[in-house]
Amino acid sequence: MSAILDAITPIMNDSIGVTAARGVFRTLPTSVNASPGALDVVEVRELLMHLETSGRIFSTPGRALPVKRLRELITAGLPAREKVERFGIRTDIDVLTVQRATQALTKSFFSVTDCVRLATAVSELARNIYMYAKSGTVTLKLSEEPTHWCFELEAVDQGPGITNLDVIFSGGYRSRTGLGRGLIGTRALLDDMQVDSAPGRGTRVSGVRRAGRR
Amino acid sequence: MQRTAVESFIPLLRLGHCVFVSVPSELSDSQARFLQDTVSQRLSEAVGVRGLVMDVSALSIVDSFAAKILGETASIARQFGVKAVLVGMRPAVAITLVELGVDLRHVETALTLERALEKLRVRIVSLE
Repeated sequence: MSAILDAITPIMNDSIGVTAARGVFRTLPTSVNASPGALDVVEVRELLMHLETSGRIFSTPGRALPVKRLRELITAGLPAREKVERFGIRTDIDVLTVQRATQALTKSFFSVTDCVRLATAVSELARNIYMYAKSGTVTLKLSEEPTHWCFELEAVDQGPGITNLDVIFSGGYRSRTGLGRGLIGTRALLDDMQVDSAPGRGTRVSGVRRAGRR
Repeated sequence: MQRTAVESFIPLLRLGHCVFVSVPSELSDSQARFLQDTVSQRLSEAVGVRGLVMDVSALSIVDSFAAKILGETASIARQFGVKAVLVGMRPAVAITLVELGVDLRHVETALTLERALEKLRVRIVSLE
């Protein structure tokens, strides 16, 4: 924490600027060890947005650090740690919880439409778990790549498995719950999706969508 | 399952020959079914209702299940001789539904409440 703060304090115009910079650090969860390189991708992004704004407002004219330099200070030049969230799915309320979590996780990285696409895709997979397998887990992961933000999702259950994957992906299937579009539609909302399932072995669906870094 | 206060309340308003329903911002499966039940019950009891307006402007996520429930509710309304119109869908939701391949062609839609009422041929007559 001190390394980042030490770098910022000298360029701040006055006590207000320094206080603002300190305030930004307080927005981070206290559990985080905010030394360079220790923050995850969401924390880096939020801290950068705050620092960039307060730098513009409070720093001595001409001395505000460019975002690139700020990022190096925060991450020590390394890629930010990925952010992983895991949810157990048992009820329809859990489906809403993962919908919300997906929106919260993606909102400052993806476009509005992409956020809705991803939350909908996650919702479809979570609902499949609660309807067909009774229980399972959904894992959301956000990471940074040199040119892209990368959102990955994984839905795992130990349910009855899927017997007719070919039929489902040919579009000829109509389920009793949705419109038979759950899996095939989810694939359309993602860049890539893989289904691993067999009768009695449960189901594992993983998918990914990327967005250019802005 | 426990029913929360939110879950057991669906805002329904009568406006002339129309019933106006505000779909909550988040729909769990049981809430969606509850919405369908509430609307069906109201339509079967009400006298002289010709139109049902479903306002989905608060809904930020519509997946295939929620879309199915909305479509079914429109079909149920038709059984009672009531024409249903969906109004106020968010652009991102519309794009997602099309990509998802959900077919809502059998449901009448309108961009604004005014256009929805036009489609239902409901006139708001001022008394002045």
